[in-house]
Amino acid sequence: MAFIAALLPNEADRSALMHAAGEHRLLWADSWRGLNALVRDRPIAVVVTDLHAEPRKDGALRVFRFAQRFPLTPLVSWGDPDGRELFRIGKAGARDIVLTQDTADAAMISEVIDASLAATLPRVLQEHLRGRVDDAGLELITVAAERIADGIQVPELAATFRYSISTLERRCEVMQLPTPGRLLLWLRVLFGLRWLLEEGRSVESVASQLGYSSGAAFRRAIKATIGGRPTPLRNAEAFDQALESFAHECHATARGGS
Amino acid sequence: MARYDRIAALPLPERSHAIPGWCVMRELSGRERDTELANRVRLYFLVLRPVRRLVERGFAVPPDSHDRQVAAMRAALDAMPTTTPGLARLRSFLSAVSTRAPERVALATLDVATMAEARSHYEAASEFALTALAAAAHANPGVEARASTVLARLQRKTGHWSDAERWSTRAVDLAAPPSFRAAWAHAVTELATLYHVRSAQSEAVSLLGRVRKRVAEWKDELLLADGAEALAATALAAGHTEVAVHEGWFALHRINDTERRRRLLLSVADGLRTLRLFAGADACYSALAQTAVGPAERAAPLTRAAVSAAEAGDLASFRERHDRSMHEVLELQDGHRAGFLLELGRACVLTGDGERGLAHASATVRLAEMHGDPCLQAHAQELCAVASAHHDGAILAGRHQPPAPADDTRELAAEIAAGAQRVVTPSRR
Repeated sequence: MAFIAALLPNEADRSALMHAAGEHRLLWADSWRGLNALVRDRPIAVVVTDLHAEPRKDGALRVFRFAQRFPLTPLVSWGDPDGRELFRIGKAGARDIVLTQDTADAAMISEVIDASLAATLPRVLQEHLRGRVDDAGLELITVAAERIADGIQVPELAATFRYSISTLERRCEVMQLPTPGRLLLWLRVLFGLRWLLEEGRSVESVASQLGYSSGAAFRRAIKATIGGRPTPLRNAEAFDQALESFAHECHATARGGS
Repeated sequence: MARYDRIAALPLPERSHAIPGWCVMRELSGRERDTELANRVRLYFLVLRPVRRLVERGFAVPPDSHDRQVAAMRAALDAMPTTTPGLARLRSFLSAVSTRAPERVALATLDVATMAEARSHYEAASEFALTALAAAAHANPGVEARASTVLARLQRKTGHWSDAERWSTRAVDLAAPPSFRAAWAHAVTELATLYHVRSAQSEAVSLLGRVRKRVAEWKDELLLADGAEALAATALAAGHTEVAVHEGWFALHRINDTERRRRLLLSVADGLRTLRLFAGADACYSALAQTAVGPAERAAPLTRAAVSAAEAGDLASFRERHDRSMHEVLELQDGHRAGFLLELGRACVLTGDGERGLAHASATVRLAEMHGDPCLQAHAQELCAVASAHHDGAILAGRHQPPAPADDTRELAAEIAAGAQRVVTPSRR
């Protein structure tokens, strides 16, 4: 389940997206400015936007600005662009498109959204750890990661698997994973570090999205996992190192190892 | 900086980061205000989408949804003017896509790649070929080899020779099992063409010889014909004209499809013309023109026959054939006419009629511009320059001086002259 931010002024388009979104949660914006604010302040995984949502604004240029501010948040454009506009939005950074002729097809819209979610952190984690931790452990990590945006806590994670908290703790121990509390702490930090790679987000906004009371609290969480401070960590290498540290704490085997 | 320029200045996105299938739009790079081209590449993008979807989902798409998507595209094609170039091929492509059969989808996608390639839309052709390759991974290595060969050819044409060699080598490896002989012949002959273009003539000849030997060993008549046809086409492109004529004529007797036979006979005739064996070439052109249905089929042999007369220096025949050819060419739609006008223009310049050559070349420039064909436009502009400088054709004529053909090729030319009509007469088969 993921959060989708959408800017679709047309009621029929909204209805089509709602029908196709399934278990994903939709948050509506009423302007490009509102859309940017939503992505900055909420754990948005995908953005869907009508290119002509604001008639006097150049849709392709808005896509470009969005992609600059939030390069890791995929943007799906919606509409029926002519050849030149299609060229420009592709160049500006749109990751996919729902054509007007396909808006009645919920299956196709769902596929576009699912494909856009392929680069989200839960999937990145899954790829990074597959074959390195056992399948049950990977499932636990993935499920927890998918619900970080909901602010999941240990009791809810245990309930998801129909375990008591103590059973979940024992399972984690058997699977050589960190304790459930530390697992969620790690996942929040990884989400936060990834979001911080987007220049449109601040430490304060990321901390707030992850349920921390302040930026300082988020900084303490970082210190408790990988050490250091968030601002110097705003680069892809630092994120990759954090990911590897997490894998190490999950007792993942070395890459290419058995 | 103008708002528009903010995006124009951006580099093109990597294929892996772009909207699926968007890379066909790369064709617009630097020409994004060309509305005609923009519409054409948008059409490519739209028709490719169902295939990209099949490929990305391992051909496991909901049938209803897939059918709706294809039907929407069919409706879009139906709404286009009937003069839209390639409309019939796109319709047949959609029919193949609607089957969701990986091999049919891959081959049909390759066909559109070839169509885009013929119009010098190499970016679009590459995207179709890459998609065909991905679809072929669900079919069999033979189709993968064919797609790899097309990619090799596109890379060669765009000057990316190391990539072309990589694709060719891959195609040869994929087509190694005996059941993919035809694909193997295509792949090796493409590799030979690459060597030819890179001026590695000894390697090219050696490879072509290898193909020829292998093709001769094959007992299966259809595969034999496929291999020989591939060898003929590549040998002609690589400048091994005599090999092309021999193999082409050999293949002609083993191919059942009339359209393929006509295409092959035309290329055999072109080979004979290049070797200055004009009688044989003219017999082929004449047979093709007589059995043609409609101006589109007649225009090619009549135009080439006129060129043949010009190259032979037979002015009287040239004038008569030129006029006959023009009669048919003027019946064609604009988009199809340009290539013929260019050929006739060159022939006029060859015969010293610079004025008429210039008129044809200028018309070609206009049509090529209108239909977004930069390659044809460049050739036509080159001819304009030659024709307007009042050259008497010496420059063009200087390009057509091949070495004298061997005796067995001369004998074959006589045999072809006698048998050309038989080969293209439908009642024979």
